[in-house]
Amino acid sequence: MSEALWQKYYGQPNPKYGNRVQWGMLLDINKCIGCHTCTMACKQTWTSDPGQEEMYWNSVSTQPFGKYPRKNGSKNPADWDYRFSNLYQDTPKGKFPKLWQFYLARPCNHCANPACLPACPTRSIYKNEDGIVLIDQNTCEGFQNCVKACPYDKIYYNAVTKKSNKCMFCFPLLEKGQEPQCVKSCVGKIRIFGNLMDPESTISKMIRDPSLGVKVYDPQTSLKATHRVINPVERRQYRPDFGTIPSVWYVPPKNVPQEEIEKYFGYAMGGLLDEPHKVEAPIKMKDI
Amino acid sequence: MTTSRREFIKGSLSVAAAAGLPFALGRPAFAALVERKDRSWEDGYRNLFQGERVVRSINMPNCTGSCAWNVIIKDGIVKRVEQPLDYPDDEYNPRGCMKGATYHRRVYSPNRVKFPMKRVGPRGSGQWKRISWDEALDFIASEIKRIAAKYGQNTIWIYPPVPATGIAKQGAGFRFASVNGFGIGTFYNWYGDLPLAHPITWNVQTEEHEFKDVLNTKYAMIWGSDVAQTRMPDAHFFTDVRAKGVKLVYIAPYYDPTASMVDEWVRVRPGTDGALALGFCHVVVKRGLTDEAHMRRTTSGPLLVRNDNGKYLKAADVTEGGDAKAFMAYDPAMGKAVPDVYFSDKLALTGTWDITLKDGKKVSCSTAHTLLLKKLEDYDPKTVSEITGVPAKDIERIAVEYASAKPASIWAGTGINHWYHGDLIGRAVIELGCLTGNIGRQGGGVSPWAGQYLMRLNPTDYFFPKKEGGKPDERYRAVPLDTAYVVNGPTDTMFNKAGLWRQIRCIWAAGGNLLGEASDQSNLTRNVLPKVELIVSPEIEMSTTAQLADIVLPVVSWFELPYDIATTPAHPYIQLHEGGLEPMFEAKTDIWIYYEMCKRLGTADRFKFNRPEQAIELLLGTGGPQVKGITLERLKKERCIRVNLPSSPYASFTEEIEGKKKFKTASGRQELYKDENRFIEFGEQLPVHKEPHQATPYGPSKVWAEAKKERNPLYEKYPMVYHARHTRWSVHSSWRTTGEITKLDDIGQPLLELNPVDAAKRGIVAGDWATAYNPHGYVKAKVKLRESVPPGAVLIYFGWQREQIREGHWNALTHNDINPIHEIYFIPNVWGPVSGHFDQLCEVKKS
Ligand code: SF4
Ligand code: SF4
Ligand code: SF4
Repeated sequence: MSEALWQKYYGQPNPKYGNRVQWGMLLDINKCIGCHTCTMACKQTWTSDPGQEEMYWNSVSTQPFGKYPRKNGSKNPADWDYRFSNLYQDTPKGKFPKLWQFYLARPCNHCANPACLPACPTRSIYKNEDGIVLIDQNTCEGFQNCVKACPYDKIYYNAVTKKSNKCMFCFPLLEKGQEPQCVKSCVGKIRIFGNLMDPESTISKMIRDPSLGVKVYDPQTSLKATHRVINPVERRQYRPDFGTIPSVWYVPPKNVPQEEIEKYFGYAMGGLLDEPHKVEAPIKMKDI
Repeated sequence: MTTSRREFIKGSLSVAAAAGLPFALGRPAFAALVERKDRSWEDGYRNLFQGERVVRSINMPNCTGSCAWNVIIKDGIVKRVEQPLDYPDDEYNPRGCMKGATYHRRVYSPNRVKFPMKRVGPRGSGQWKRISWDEALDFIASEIKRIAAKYGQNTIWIYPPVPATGIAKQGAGFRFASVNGFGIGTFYNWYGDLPLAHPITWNVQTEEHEFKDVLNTKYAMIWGSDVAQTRMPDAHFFTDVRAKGVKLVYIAPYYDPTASMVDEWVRVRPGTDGALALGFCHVVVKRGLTDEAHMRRTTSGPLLVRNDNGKYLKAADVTEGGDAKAFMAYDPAMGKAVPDVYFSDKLALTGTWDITLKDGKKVSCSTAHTLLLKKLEDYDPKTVSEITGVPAKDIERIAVEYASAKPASIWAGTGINHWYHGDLIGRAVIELGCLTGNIGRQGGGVSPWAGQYLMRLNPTDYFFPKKEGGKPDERYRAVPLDTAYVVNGPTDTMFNKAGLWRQIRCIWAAGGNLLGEASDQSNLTRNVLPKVELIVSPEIEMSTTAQLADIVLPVVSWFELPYDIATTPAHPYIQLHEGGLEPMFEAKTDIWIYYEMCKRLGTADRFKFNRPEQAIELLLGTGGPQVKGITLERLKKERCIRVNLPSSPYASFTEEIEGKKKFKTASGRQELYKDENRFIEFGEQLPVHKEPHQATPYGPSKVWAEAKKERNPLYEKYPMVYHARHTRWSVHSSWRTTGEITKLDDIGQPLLELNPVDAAKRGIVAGDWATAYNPHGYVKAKVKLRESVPPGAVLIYFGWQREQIREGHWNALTHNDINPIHEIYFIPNVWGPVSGHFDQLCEVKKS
């Protein structure tokens, strides 16, 4: 994207919420091996309590058929199916020899313009100084408006505590000078993490200049990052057409047809896509 | 955060206003405009990390990873585990996958074996009686004595643990067998991971480059190794090098996860990879891309072979009193056959001459390379395309790409090894590496990583202790019997059958889930187990083996194990493992159990150890040059130490290829040509393609010219190749019953995966129950349809325990005939029967 656009969206304090830091993530899908080490690192740290059994703040599913949650056409979260978060794993689309699939790892996007936040009737959701979107667990009353409002389905209702839970960008770890669990554990070394609003941070430089990717990621020592290599391919966001200005960025897969890439990573800043991508699942599992 | 939130927001808003708002304040942003005095809930999450204690442990399953994990303990309970990110070389950080990340779930699994148990109902009935440790050990000891008296000491048979997965703990199993003169089985060859092509060509068990060496390559072929699933901690080396512009090619019948992360995926007909490799070789030769210096200096290429009998010409053939072991080559300058000189540039690589033998007879001799070139004539791209299904132009192009990139590497896996003719496939692949001069070079080589066989130290003094007061090298030794024969029964072609074969009467399943994981399961359970009078299963969880055993002993998990050491072929470190937890329930360490058994068998003074520390000190002290200077004390401080190796990143054969030393073979060269009688009898002196032994529509085990004229009668009834394969979700059966992991594996149960075309033919839709069957057995599971599976194949990701399978068993269909080539010698885990469990056929029906 152009430097001007970057400056407009990321180079200044958030106009709505005022945060002068915006933590963000860049994931190179070309390198993702679908291992769910991230999922498990997150789960073992944050979501292993009762009520969180099917809750994956970080989820990974094989595209195009993997969906989490599966909504079965319903707008009511009570109907959504969170079981088998990795259904249709490794099921490619196409006919031999032209097959494609990719793993889509998704934490919360900690959007600059979050859809969840204004939806909360108890004002429990806030964006903190670092741009992290959080739900106050003391005041949340479990209305689940946020669950419906988040177009990424990244807020989960905990039926035991009767509150909504979501990814916290591992803020307690960030404060201890560590990267989030899903970033530092990523054994495919696909993720880098940093402050999008800092023009000098590795992540903002790497997003703005894709050619920087082939160099080994220079670890931001304050977060004890390990070395990583990112493909020199234009960086994009997942479903930017939702308009929430996500802080999680992706390097789209090189092996996937361009028209399919556009459905997932349509170029928001160059013109929003208005047609949400519909995934039909021709291979239907019965009786699970 | 001293600035009040309101001030902070005010300030920033004005900045934004000046710059022009990127997105409109459409709806009121309630929370942001509300001053928040109290965010105390956040502390609840911050406080989670207080009071934690960290112990660096090693995950030691047989997956080849050997990844370190920090065990995070709070109030005596493991809260979670995290990769320590402390490998001295940052390229290896982080290491460890989701299985390591959930090992504590296995420690606290409801499936744990909690106390010694004795079977009271029929085997497998699940009827157990809790007994004390003393009762258990006394009972086993008396049974062992009874069986040994009746059938012989060597009919007590230890199924050996894979040694590098905790050398002290696993090695104790070998030591236990040795000091008692018990029988011991094999693991590496039997379960199909030994690339027999390595001992055949190089007389080494296996040689592979360390994973970091991928970064040095200019072109990589990943051949039959689904690295994205089965080498997760190291898969990033491939994606890293790809990001830098190196081409990755994946050769496999399946569109596996690895296929989606490479530049080119080549679908090859299952079991025909050898033909493809020879097709590449053919192109390399025809295009003049051969590295002749490499062939002349280091391979069997210049050695003379007698055309009358296929044997290497030896000095003793030519001169009276000549050395029967000296190989001969032809020196064109001198115009005669001369004793071979390794690394010489003077020898003819090609040519045929009449050589006068010592009795005056003349015999036609050709260099081995001449014969190799002649063989390659059969593998033109058109023919190879016919065999493999790979388009001829792709064969041509990839061969040129590979041969032109220097260095180019091949990373082979068990996908090309789990075949009856896996040795031939492996040899063909090695031939390609040799022809292009890629052996012994960093960034080159042919590396198969499979199994944690590599100990990186010499364990002889620990495994086979010296006899006190005996001759200098007199040792206690176990009596080997290859696991293949225990499971399949003996063959007529077995090496030293008279000396080695005996019916096993007691199985001590030290090395894991033998009864759940053995191929040829049907034969094992139907015919072998009834003859076995005692099955002892020391286990952590109630595996299939434990369920079918007579006595189950609770063993500590890794986190309850005080210390151990672990190594792997994947990375060059020796690491100290530390557990951090007290043993749970009545669990004991393996080494304690063996010691207690020895006490009851009167051999405790030979076994000596009941704590791992003593064993580790012995192992390091007598381990040889690779661990010179590495002590337990140092390991306790540094935790992870690089062993002494000749190159970094480690690459195989670098010294041999520079002429600094010879290969370990009889000729001192890389033996692409073999002249043992059985190679000659089977026409396998040189790598050739033979059709699979079972899984082919054509003439089984025949070369193409003959095979294509025939139909395989078995195939007419069972036209689907049956593959029970490794998944990312388990290491064999380990983690298969770990709920958090199984939940991520599609619908969390065994699935028969088919190509939609095959399913349609059989009236099957996704989600149906179906049975895959053949004359040996069957398995029933739900069906998943994927284009990834080639038509004509059935895939089941394996490892499921007995109780997780609706009916039958995923290994009930596999049956391994033993290839006589694998029986020319018997060196446990180095040369022995290699499982061909991919070489199987079946049919599928809706059920
Ligand atoms: S992804 Fe969803 S939950 Fe996360 S900030 Fe954006 S709208 Fe909110
Ligand atoms: S950032 Fe932390 S909380 Fe969010 S998905 Fe990753 S590990 Fe989970
Ligand atoms: S850990 Fe990394 S490579 Fe593995 S699934 Fe998660 S994002 Fe992908």
